[in-house]
Amino acid sequence: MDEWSDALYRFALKSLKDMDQAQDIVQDSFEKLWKKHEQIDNTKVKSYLFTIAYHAMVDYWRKQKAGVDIETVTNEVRYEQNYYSGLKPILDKALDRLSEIQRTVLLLRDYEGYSYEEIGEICNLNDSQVKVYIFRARLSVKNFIGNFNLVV
Amino acid sequence: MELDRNNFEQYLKAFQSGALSESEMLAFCDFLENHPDLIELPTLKKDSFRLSADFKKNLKKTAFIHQENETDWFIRNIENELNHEEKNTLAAYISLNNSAKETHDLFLLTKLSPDAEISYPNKSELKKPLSMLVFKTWQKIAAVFLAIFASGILFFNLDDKMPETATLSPKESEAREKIETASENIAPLKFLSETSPLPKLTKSTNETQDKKRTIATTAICAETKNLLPYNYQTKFPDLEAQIIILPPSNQFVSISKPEQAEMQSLGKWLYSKGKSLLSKEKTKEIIPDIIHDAELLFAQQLEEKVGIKAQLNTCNSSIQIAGMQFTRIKNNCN
Repeated sequence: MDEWSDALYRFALKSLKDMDQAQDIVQDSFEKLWKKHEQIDNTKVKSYLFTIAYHAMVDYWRKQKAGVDIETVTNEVRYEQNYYSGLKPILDKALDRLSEIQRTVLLLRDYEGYSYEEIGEICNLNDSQVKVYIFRARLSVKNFIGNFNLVV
Repeated sequence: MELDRNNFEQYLKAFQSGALSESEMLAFCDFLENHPDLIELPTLKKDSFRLSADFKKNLKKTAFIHQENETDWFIRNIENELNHEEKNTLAAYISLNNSAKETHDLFLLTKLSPDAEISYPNKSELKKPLSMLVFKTWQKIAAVFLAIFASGILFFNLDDKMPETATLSPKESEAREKIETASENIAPLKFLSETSPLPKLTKSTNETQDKKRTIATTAICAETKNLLPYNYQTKFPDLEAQIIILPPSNQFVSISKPEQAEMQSLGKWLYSKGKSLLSKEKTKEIIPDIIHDAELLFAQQLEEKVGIKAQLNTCNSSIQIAGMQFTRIKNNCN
């Protein structure tokens, strides 16, 4: 469970760039898991957690689009300054430039090693859509990285 | 080694000796097709040699790498979608093309790795809450029954509670509330003489004991002679209605939750008022019709004076009041 909470938190934090919000989403996801744990196949618990978290993030993004949240922007700056150096900030910025769905599928793919099918189940997409999003995400990240000669 | 005009003959020899892999064979054929001036060799058409089924299956994908489709190859490589043959083809391609190698290296950087420094800070909060401990099904069922049983005991020990309220409409619920105070409202409505004050019954706050109530009722019977109280019980022991029939005029009074002292007081009052009537006209027998008439009158009075609808049911000698059934149980004077 510790492993899942860390993975879920990383996923939420990378997606939202907001520590408090990411923690809330992890908490909510586990709370929902415990409430429905009897109905969930043991082999799908992790996937269930990520699905819940993803849906919560979608709701959060929708709310964010409705109005500018200054606090989030502040957290975002602090987050970048505190955590990364070297290639990571560039990758983070590249990730920031992705659309939400592209970032999500890429994180699920690389961080968690989910298959296209599993990612599709979490994000409610078919395999082809997942492939296309991953393709575009990698291309976008590569192009962004390519602009930094030092990295290359 | 990149296939070009200078080394194509080596490839040709390798092809003829069967030393080329399938991808190399296709690459060689492709090269010859693009350079028709080099050699006229019909036997080297792509469809002139036998390809394995697996290779044919992936022919479209593995055909050739070139500048236009190299991105697809690079990403498929990162996604680990290339088979062994394709990986060799890709390796050959990037080894001969520096620009492609740089691009490929950039794509390799897009492969993210989890940041181990990030971990959820409050893991203890995520542990299974105590209230959600896993119980076996039978334990849950037992717990539900226990809860219902406990609720029932609690409920039936409350004098003033009527649990069926939840199943009633708002109007009926309101009627029930009126029933709770009916002991105050119904008794004075019409009893022998409306000009005489009736001892006001107050709502009981103490627990009523059936034994005391029976004694009190019997006392009334003794005092008022021919006054016949008929008790009507609900399934709630502490909620009881009583119709006292005073022959022959079928006058009545209804009492809910009678207390001993109140009953005695009422009995005395009944006695004093009823005595004169009884002396004028005595009816020794109470026939069922009279009881029914009394109940009917009670129902009418209830609706007229208090606004509560009551319905008689002659089949089981009961009165339905606000969804609650008051069943005639006994005549305490017999």
